[in-house]
This record gives sequence, structure tokens and C-alpha cells, in this order.
Amino acid sequence: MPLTPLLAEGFTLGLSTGPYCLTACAPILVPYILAEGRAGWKGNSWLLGEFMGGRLAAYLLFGFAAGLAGAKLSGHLPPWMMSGALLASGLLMLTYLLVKAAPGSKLCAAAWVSNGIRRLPLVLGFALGINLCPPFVAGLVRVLALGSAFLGTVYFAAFFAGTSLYLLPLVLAAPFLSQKRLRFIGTISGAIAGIWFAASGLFGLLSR
Amino acid sequence: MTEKNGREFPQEHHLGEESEKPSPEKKERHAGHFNPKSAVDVTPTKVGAQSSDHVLDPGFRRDDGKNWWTSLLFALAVVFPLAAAQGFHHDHVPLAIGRAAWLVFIGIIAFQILHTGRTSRWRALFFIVLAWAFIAHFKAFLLGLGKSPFFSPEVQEVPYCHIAMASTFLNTLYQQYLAVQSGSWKLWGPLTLGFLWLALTLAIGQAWCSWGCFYGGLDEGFSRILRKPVWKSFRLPPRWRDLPAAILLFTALASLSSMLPVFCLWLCPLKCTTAFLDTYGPVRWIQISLFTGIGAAALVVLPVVLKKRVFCGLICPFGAWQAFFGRVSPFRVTIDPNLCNQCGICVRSCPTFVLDEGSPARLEVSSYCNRCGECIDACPTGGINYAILGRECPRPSGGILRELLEARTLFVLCALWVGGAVGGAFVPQTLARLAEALCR
Repeated sequence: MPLTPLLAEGFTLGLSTGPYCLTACAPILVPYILAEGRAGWKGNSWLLGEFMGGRLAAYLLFGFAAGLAGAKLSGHLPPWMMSGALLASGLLMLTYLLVKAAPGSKLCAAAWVSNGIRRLPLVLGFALGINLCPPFVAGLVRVLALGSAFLGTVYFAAFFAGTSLYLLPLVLAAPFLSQKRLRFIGTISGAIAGIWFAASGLFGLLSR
Repeated sequence: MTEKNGREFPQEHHLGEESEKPSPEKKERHAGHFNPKSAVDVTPTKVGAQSSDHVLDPGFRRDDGKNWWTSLLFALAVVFPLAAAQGFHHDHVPLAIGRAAWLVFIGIIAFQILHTGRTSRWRALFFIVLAWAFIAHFKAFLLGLGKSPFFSPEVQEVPYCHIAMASTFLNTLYQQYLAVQSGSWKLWGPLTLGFLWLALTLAIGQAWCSWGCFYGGLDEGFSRILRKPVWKSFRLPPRWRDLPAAILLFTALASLSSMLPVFCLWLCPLKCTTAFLDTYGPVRWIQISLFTGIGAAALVVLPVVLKKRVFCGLICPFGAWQAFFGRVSPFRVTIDPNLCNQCGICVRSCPTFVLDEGSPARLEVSSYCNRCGECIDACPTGGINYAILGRECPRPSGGILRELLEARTLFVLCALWVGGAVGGAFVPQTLARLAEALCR
């Protein structure tokens, strides 16, 4: 199959369903950026870049795996995957806020976590990237039909590019993000979002 | 009374107490011929070092009551437009009586606010009646107590109030986007309620939360049950005043993400009287437990214990929404640096945690201010007042018209128009039903 139409198809799917992807990521991403409270364009662009890098890794992995599995997967995905991703996102967010709120504490593993926290946007991006929102599932079904790991990876790379356009405007808020009040608002809403995601994931896992 | 930070406050000023009769000197000040700098120590040094003038004069306010005729004229100015807006219908007798009673009630409130010079006391009465009338009318129907429930099962579980409007605003925008994208203009909503909201926000801004909201009177009522707070030493860290903004941010994003009204489905204590038609399953039990728990704590127990409006001040996302957009309204509450002696009474009297202990020194009133008038009533030096765009209107030197054009008078006029119009949609019906029930 020629690559150009495939790239265009993946990109337009991402472009048309991107707002939905934004809404799926926003409850965690926006409070996280606010809570981080970095000043200026550079710091916030780096954060968003890492987050999108995590998403890209998740998309490419799925594109590769789905293309490799091809028809054998028959459109069925592990039922626990979405709930697990939600639980992981929520717990990551809560851990981040806990460590951030008590940087001097002697919590066991606090040192390990605070080192890992530097890469948190990447991990959050990955966890939210495998959150099976409808546009993602639509792309996945298409890739299953393609039956090629390479084509699947290409398709999801284009899909990622289309959806990412909707996340980029978040950087525009950079000049306002160093305010203490916004940081506090981000921290609290992030904590609520963490509890919400973790509870949703846990409930999903338990109800299966 | 000594605060933790070493500040000394004078004896607690009880909002419910009548103030002492103004002395001739005070009357002179009321007339606008008094130089406050000559009597009030305005040096912003240690709090508690106020002049004896302040300590002995807890009842002084620049705006102490207007005369009888001015107050009557003001009451008529409030009531007539509301009566005209209601129109004259061929209602059955109880409803006509209900409409008339509501207008008379608003007139009395308006008269008393101007005549006594106390804003919040009479506003609170109006506000509490508004809330309980809403509960009696609307919620009673939802529970099936009003002969027959007129709401469909779907309506019971979806938002229908202004609080939901804020927390699902992104959903509304998304729906409009989809409607426009579909090319079918019939799907595009005219946002009628949006225009109503814009009008009231332009008129009174955040003051909606203390003059027009038909829920706010619930925690207001409970916060006024006791004369003194049970937990007197409670001080909210100032940054926690942004909690409603955090709740708004989360609920707006999560509502958009799930395409469901998350605040209404999970956090709104006002849903505890509505709940769900299907009450089975763990999810429903968690939701109902949250409604009841948050309702009991934020609407009843904490308002009684702290004498503060905890739901309105710390939870309601619409409050944060109005604090942001309410800046477009010209009405403000300002602290006069020449009169403020930083006694801290305003901080303790503020029911919505808007003033912190540093506010008087910074002469700063947060945009979360509900313009309820509690601090204005409580301020012993008259240093806090309503203003238009941060400025007070020129002091009247005489004439009813100039008195009526004061910032405070204009604000109360607008606020009672909004509250009166909102209440006009359900209070007369409630009164009519009560009258019918009593006559049976």
C-alpha cells in the first residue's frame, strides 16, 4: 500500500477527532501543567514535548503491535487495558502531587519517586496515550485491517501528528503559569483528577 | 481578643445587635461635614492601636439610614419595574395574592435596607426566603409532592441550574461546534440562558451569589442560626479560597472528557433532594453518599459551626466562574484607607472567606466578594462601602434624587431587581400553594 494516502488518512483521522483526544488528556494534563507552574515558554514547551513524546511512544507501540497481530487480534483488546491505564494515570498524578507537596519528607521511596518525577510527563503521556478513546479505537481497527507492523506504525505516527495540533495551544498559556494561585488551583484540581481517574480505573477493573 | 499573630482585636462585634444611638458628633459625620482624619487614627501600624473613637463607636456608618420618604421612593423604584415585568394576568386568586405578597415583601426589604442603613441583615432575610421558596416549589415537584411530578425521568438526572452551566460550559461550546460543523443550523442553540447570564453578570456580577442565587440562602440560613461561631479561632489559609476555582477546572475538563455533567452527578450537595430514579448499584450509592455527605457538611454543619457560608465560599464552581466574569460589573466593594483602622472586624464578619487578615492592610477586596454587605454593616468606622468602578459616587449634599444616585443605592436597586425577578418565577406559586393548603 502506498505510504502517502496512508499518512493522509491517519493525519485526517487525527485532525477530525483531535478535540476528543484533547478532552481525554486535559483533565490530567492541564492541572499538571498548572501545578508544575514553570515560567516562560521554554519550560512549558519542554513539559508538553515530553508529554507528547509519551503519547507518541504509546501510539507507535500500539500501531506496531496492532499491525503485527493483524487479523489474529480480530478486533478484540484486553478488557482490562483501559481501566488499567486510567488507574495508572490517576496513581501517577497522585504520587506526583504527594511528592511535590512534601519534598522534604522521608517517605519510603520518596527519593526514587522524586527522581522519576522528572520524567513524569513522558510517563503520563504514555499512560494517557493508551487510554482507549473512540478516535484511538477507530485508528486501531483500521490498523488491524492493514496487517503490517510497519504500516501500523506509520499510520499511528500520522494519527499522532493530527491529534497533537490540538494540544499545542496549551503552550500559549505559558506566560501566566508561574502564578502561585494558579499553581495551587492546578495542584488541587490535579488531586481531584487523580482520585477520579484512579477510582474510575479501579472500579472498571473490579467490575469485570 | 488576641489573634495568633499577635494582633489585638477589639471586643467582638455582634452583627445581630442594634448599634447605639449616634452621638451629635456622629450625626455631623453622617451629614458629610466631618473630617475623618481628625478623629480616626489612620496610622497603619499595629492593629488594635485604634483610637478610642473607634472602640466606643461600634455603630457608626457613613451610610446610616435614609429618611422615610427617600426609602419609600426607593422601595417603589424597586417594586414597580418588577410588577410591570410580571404583568397583569387573570390568575386564580391565590396566585394573584402570591404575586402581590412577593412584591410587597421585596418593597419592605428595599425600604428597610435604605431606611436602616443595614444592607446584609435585610438582604439575608430576602435571600433565605428565596432559597426556601425554591426548595418548597421546585424540589417538592421533583419529589412528587406537588400533585404530579412534571419533569421527565431524563430531566431528573441532568443539570438544570446555573451551577451546572459553569461546570459544563466546555460541553456547551463543544455541542455548538458540532452543530455548526454538521451544517444543520437547527441544531445550533440560541444560548438563551447564556444571554440571561450575561445580562445579570453585567448588572451585578458576583453579587448573584448573595442576591439572586436560589441555593445560596440555604447555607446563609444555617450560618445565622447561632449568634457566635462555635469554632471561633478558625482561620482559613487564604490560598484555600481558590478551592472553587480548582473544582471548576476539574469539573469542566472532566465533564468535557466524559460528556457528562460531572459536578451534578458526583459533587453537588443540592442533588441530595433529587437523586436518581434508579438507586441500585454501588455507583449510585457512592453518588448519593457524596451528595448527602457534602450537603450535610457544607450546607448545614460547617455553616453552623463556623458562621460562614461554606458551600458558597469553598465549593460552588459557579462562584469561581462569577468571580472571573463578574469583573465586568461596575459595582465593587472598596476599603477607604482614610477610615480603615485595621480592626479586623470585617475579616471575621465576611461569610464567604473573601477577606483574609491581610486584606485591610492591603486595602484589597478579592474578586470572590459577593457584595453581600456583611462587612459594610459590621465596619465600625464606615470604611467599607459599595463603589462604582472603585469610586464612590459624590456624597449627596441634599435632595432625594442625589441620595438615590449613591453607589450603594444603585447597587441594591440592581441586585433586588435581579433577585426579585428570579424569585418571581417561583415564589408566588409557592405562596399560592401555601395559601391553598391553609384554606383547605
